[in-house]
Amino acid sequence: METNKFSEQESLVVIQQMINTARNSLHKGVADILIFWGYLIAATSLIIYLLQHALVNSGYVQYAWLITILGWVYTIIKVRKLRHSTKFKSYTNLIYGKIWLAFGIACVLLPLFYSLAVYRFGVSAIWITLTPTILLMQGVCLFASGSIYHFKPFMYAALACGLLFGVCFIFPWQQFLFLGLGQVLSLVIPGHLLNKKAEKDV
Amino acid sequence: MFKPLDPLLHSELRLAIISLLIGLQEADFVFLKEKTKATSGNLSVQLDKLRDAAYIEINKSFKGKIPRTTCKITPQGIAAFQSYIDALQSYLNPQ
Repeated sequence: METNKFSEQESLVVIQQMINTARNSLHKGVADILIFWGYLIAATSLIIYLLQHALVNSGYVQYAWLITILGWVYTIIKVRKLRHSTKFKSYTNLIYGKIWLAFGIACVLLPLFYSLAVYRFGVSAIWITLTPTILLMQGVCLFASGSIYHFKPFMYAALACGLLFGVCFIFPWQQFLFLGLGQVLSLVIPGHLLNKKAEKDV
Repeated sequence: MFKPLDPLLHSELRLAIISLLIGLQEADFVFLKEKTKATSGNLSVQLDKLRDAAYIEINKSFKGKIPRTTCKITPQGIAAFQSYIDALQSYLNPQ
């Protein structure tokens, strides 16, 4: 690119090109955290589903969710690494990160408040709404992420989460199976596709 | 009536730099070089000119042992870019 003076039309083209470049730039491994969470939740929910059906007293099986602490550890390490290695910081990446951080915090708070509600009011049937609620929130986050990145697989993933939200109410005893399936369809597959797109940009 | 175009921005490379930075929180030298396809020397000179006009901030740091230069648009840079767009509109849609 030269430093010479140029026409008004040419300057418009440069502005448009560069703004599009900035908007569409993705850094390598942008979806690594989502993919990790996808595999982790899919594996955990499958283990819980199998244990629930294999054990007579399956009340303690829910403690298996503590495995997800691994996800938070990985997220913190990865975010720190990305902060030092990225060649640019964009507002879209910032919004994307905040959306998923809010979702993560909500996923921690929801079971805590559900426990409180069960303890306070004794309505344990409320637990049946937890998995679909998480899938619905995940769908909303995917829709928002798809919109900011103009990335269609996230939109389809949001749709899959919406459908699984409904399916969870129809087959409440298979919820963890649908939660696992939801992670593969909405985080793992679109995550790998987004990383592939980012590889081309780098 | 045509508005005058800021001569500092009415240059292909400097306008490209500002247009990139307007959509980003910050970008490093390597990213700007890749996206503008400019040579290191030329990019460095143009970044200094934009910094002297207070349109951008340049921070030099180290990533391990490798030096790293990051650039960020300033409020003055944003205002200058907006004025440039206004002026450009007067040329493209003269009344």
